[in-house]
Amino acid sequence: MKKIVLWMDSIVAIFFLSVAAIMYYESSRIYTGDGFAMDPASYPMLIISIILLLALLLLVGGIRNNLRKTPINQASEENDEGSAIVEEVSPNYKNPLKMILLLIAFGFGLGYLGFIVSTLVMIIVGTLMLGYRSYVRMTIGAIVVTLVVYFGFSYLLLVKFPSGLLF
Amino acid sequence: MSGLELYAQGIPYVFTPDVLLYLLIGVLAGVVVGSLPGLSATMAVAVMTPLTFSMDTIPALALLLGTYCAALFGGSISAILVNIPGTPGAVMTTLDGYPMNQRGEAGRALGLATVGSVLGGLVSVIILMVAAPPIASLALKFSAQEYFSLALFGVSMMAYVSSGSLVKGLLSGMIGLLLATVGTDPTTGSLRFTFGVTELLSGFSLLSVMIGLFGLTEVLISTERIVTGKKIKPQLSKMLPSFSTLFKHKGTIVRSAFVGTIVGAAPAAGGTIASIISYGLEKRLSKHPEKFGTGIPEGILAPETANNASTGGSMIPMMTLGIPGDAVTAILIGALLIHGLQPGPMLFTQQPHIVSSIFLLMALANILFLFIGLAGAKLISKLLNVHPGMLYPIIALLCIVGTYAAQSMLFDVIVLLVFGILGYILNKVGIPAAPMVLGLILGPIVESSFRRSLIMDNGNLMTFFTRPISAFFLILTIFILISPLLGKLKTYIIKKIFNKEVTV
Repeated sequence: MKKIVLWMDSIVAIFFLSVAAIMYYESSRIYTGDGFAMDPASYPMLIISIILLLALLLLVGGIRNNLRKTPINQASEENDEGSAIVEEVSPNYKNPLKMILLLIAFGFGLGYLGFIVSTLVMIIVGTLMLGYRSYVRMTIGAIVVTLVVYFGFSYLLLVKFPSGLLF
Repeated sequence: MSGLELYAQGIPYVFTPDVLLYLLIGVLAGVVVGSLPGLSATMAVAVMTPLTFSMDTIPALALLLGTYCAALFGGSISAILVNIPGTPGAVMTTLDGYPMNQRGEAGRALGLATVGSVLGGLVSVIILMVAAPPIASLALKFSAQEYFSLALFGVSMMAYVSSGSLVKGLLSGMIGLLLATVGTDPTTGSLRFTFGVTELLSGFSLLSVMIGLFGLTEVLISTERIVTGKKIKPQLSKMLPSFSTLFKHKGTIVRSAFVGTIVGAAPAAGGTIASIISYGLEKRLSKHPEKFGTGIPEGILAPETANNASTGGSMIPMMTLGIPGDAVTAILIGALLIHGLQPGPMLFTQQPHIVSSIFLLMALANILFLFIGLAGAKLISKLLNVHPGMLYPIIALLCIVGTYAAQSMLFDVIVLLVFGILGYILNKVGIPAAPMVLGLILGPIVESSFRRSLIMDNGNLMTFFTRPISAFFLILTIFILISPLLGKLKTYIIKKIFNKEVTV
């Protein structure tokens, strides 16, 4: 894991180089050769070329920075990172991942279960996931927020929400 | 149109019950959201934007500007009460605000922050009212070359001031410019990068991308650290500072107001940078710099005044040139575009009542949060006891519903989720999202101006350097891009000449 973090810039650079290459190929398919100003592909190709250059700079910079680091330098950096900032709470990377999965499930749920049921479930599951344990307050809060948002958007802003199997 | 006529145009539009009500709602929402750590003014305005779709333009502006001005102030509440800045611009306020709270003077600290913010905001609105019309008149003479250079300068500047390396910032900006090309080419009608997806014919929904990158991403980042501490019960008495106190620190207030306005007017610089510069300046000018950080009034007045003064400053380039002064005004540009308005000098000639309304709304917003900030501090402090686990799913819900409400298309929600996840990943790898959003907003201007310039001058690239204003901004852009190299060159030369190790 530490190695991935160390080489992160290089990994990101390679990713952007790949994406830029694909986009450049896509641009070439619409290239008409009518001159820069009139050709729909020339401007995107110019931007993609700049992205390629920047990604290369990032890659070179990333490789150079990692090659410069000796084991002593790496160790002292790790110690500095440890002592520089005292964090009260360590980051929990599982929470964002859980939220992403929950929101994707919510998106699917909207079409099958309808807005009200999906929203109720999303708020309750999300709140539990993030550590809130007052079940009564959570349930009341979820119901209130769902109804306020539903009626507020439906009747005041005239938004038609997708309906599902229930409502 | 004379200055006074311009300022009066908005009066019949602004002083109506519905506009004032939306302004009040915006200010309330801004103070509440700004005071909650993990949420920002940018997110607040981004989430509010879709709520304005069914509104007329001026009520929509009332809601958004009220939220903008108040959210920057709201960050000081949690900064003072729990030593956690509610918004990035309140970071410096924690240095003296929390120590003052610990002495049992939380009310005094909040009062100073509130009044400082109000005064800074009002001064910046006055400067905006005075400076904007002549700049707009000058901008009317701009041609395609100037707009291209200016837009490019804006994206570069945003990349420069964003966190992380300049290369990463520029990468983000360029990706934004590329994303702006998705859809139908306005000149030839050709389809670009749609990959057969019908919904992409008109490109990415600006709103979905903005809310994804500024709203959902921040929610995801905030869920990494769910902090629940002991309940706070602040001592909030004697909040309003006396006139003698304010008069004693008039130098700090005036200097900070001007610093904030000027820094805010620089494209891409915003309240955070303004508050840091102002705090540093006051500490340097103080006869007792060692007292900064112990809970002195200047330590609160300087950053808070500058932070809110940046609001008027940021609106100057946005309104006169269509270039945002910070991330929030980038979203405001998006909101104006959604309402069919094109920010820039033509706004002053074609819709002066909109310009005048913006001036009046910002002034009123600053006056409103004086009362709300002082009167509502106790209630707002209770919000800091709400478990974040309850808040974040609700904010995510508002992001999704707000995005869906725009066009009732589930595809927009998909774009929101994609960019929310992308924004989170970019944050983890150190690539800032703000330049990408700015690139997406300014992309159409950059491309159309670039191509039009070449058409006008038969493909001659030197056209951008033969016009003085265009050349000025391009040279400034080049200077920004090579500034890291210049720094290294300076270090190298000093090392060679003086045979010294120099750290920059």
